[in-house]
Amino acid sequence: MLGPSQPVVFVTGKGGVGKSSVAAALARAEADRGGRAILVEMEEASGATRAISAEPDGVRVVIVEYLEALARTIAEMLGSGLLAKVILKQRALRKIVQAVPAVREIVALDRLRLLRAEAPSARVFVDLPATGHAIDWLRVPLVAERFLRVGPAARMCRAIQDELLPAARSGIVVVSTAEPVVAAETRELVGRLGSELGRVPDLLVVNRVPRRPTAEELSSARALAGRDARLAPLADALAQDAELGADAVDALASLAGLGGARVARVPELFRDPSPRELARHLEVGA
Amino acid sequence: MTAALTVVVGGGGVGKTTTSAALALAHARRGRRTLVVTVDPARRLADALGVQIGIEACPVRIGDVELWARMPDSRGSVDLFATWLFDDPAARARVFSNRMYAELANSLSGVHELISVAFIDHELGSGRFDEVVLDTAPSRHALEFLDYPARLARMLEARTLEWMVGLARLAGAAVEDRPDARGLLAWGRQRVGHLVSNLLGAEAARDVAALFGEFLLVREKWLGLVRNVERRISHASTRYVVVTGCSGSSLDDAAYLVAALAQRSTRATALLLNRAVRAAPEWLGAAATPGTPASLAEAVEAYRAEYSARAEQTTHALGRVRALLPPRTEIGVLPALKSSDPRAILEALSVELAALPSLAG
Repeated sequence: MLGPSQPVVFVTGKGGVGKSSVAAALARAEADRGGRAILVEMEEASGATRAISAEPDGVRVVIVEYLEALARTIAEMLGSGLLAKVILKQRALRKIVQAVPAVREIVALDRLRLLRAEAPSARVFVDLPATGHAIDWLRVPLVAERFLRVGPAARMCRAIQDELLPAARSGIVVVSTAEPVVAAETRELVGRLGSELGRVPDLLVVNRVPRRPTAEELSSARALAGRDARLAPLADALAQDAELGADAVDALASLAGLGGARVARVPELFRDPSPRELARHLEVGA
Repeated sequence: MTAALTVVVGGGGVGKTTTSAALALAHARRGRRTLVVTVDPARRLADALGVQIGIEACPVRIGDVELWARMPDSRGSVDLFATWLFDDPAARARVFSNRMYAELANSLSGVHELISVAFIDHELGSGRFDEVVLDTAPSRHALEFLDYPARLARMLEARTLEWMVGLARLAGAAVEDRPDARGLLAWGRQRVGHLVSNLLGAEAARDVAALFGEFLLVREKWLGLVRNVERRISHASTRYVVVTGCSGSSLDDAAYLVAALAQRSTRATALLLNRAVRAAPEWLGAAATPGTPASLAEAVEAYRAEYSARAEQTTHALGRVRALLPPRTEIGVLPALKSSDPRAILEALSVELAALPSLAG
C-alpha cells in the first residue's frame, strides 16, 4: 500500500513543500486500488482540491467550513440540532467563537471524527494547514482538554484524542524538501511530534530532490570549458548544482529514518505533477 | 513622523521571507532606517540574514549597510505583550495566573499574529525607523491578522460583555459591575449561558469569563491599538506586496490575496513573480551540440528539460498574473537564483527590487 494504512491520514509539513499534492496523490492511489477515498482540506485552502481536479474520479472532496463544523459539534454535544441553532444564533457568541483561538482547530478535527463515523469504510486523507507548525493542530485537543478538565467540551476533546489521534487510528505523513532550511524545520516538526504527541511519522516524503551532478560530469565540463570558453557557464552551473546537490544529500541523510519513518523521495520535476504521476514517484522512491 | 509600512503576503514556499529581507536591504541601501519583522515562527528570516534574531529588534549588518530585524515568537513575547496591555500590577498578576492564559496563550493560532500587530504599531510610532517591512505567515489568512485586533474589539462590545458577565455569574465567578439582567432577551441569554457553561464545565467557563473581564478593564487601551492599526493599514503610505511562485497553487493563493486586498478597499502595490525563468540560457545551446562528450549528454539533457519546463511554467504564470492584476499594480519578475549562500540570493534580489519604482520610491 502507498503510504500509511490507517483509516485517517494527516499530511503535514511546511507551506510550499507540495503537501497538498501528496495528499491528493495518496487519495488518488487509494481510489485506484478500489478503495473509497475522501480528500479533506480546510476552508481557507484550495491546493488539494486543485491537485485532485486533474484526476478526480472516485475521490470525494470534503472542504471543512468552520462555522458549519461548529454547529455540528455543538449539536452532537447537546444531542439536539435545534439547541445548537439557538446557541449559534447568538450574534455575540458567534463573534467570540470567531475570535477565540483553537476553536477552529477543534471543530475541524471533530468534523473529521464525525466524518469517520459516517463513512467507516472510507479512508480519509487530510491536508493540514501550513500556518505555523501543523503540529499545533493535532495538539489542540490535548491542550484544550487540559484546560477544560470536565464537561461535554472536555469529553469531546478526549473523544478526538481517542478516536482520531492514536497510531492505530491515524497515520502521519510529513512532507519536506531537501533544502537545508526546510529539512531543519522538518526535523524540528518530527521531534515535536515525538515529544508532544508520542507519535512518529509513518511516511516522510522528501519532495523535489534535485539532480546531483557526478564528479565525472564536473571534470569533463571543466575540461570542455578550457577548450571552448562558451561552455564555461555549463561548468559553472554544474559546480553550483553540485554544491546544492551536496546540501540536499546532507539534508536527506539528516531526514533518513527520522523516528523510524519510511522515506520516499520524489525528484525535482520543475512543474506540478498529476496525482497519479506523483503517486508513481512515491512508490518508486520509497 | 511615523515609518512607512510594507506588508508582504503570499502562499507557502514562494520566497516571501527572503523577498522581505531583500526589500528591507534595498530600503537600507537608500539610507532609510529599516526594520524587518517576521510573524512566521519559522527561522527563515534568521537564516536569510545569517544571524540570530530575537523578540527585540536587533541590528544586522550586510555589507556596508545596517538594518534591524525582529521576530516576535515564543512565550516571552506573549508575556511582553500582556505586560504592556495590563499595566496595573494586580491585573497583570491575575491574568498571568489565569489558567486560560497560562495554558493556552502560547500554543494557539492567532496569538502571535496578534502580538506582532501590537509590536509593529509600537515600532511604527517609535521614531526609530523610516521603513518597516512585515513578513507575514504563509497563509491566505495572512491579511486576517490585521483585522484580528478589531475582531477582538468587537467582542468587547457591551452586548457581548454583558453576555460574558452572565456566563461568569452562572459559573460562580466574582464579577463586579454586573449589569442588571432584565427582560425576555436577558432571560434567553441566561438560558444559553447555562448551556455554554455546562458545555465548557464551570471551572473553564469561570476562567474564560474572568479573562474577558480583564480585557474589559483595558478596553480603552485595546481600542486605541485597534484605531492605530486600522489607520495604519489603510494609510496611503502603506504598501502591500503579493509574492507568488510560478506553480498553480501559489498563483491561486496570490489571486485570493489580491481579491482579499481589493475587498479591504486597498490594493496590491506590487505583485512579484518569484523564481521566474524567461528562456533557456545561451550556453545551453552551445552545450547541446554533437561536439559535447557523451559523459555530459545526460547533464545537458537534464538542463534542457529543466529550463524548458520552467520557462513554460513562467510564461503561463505571467499570463495569469497579468489577468488577475488590478490597475496601477506593478508587476515585478524576479529571476530564479541558485546559490547555496542565502546572503548571495538576498543581495541579488535586493538589486532587482530596488529597480521597482512602486517599492523603492
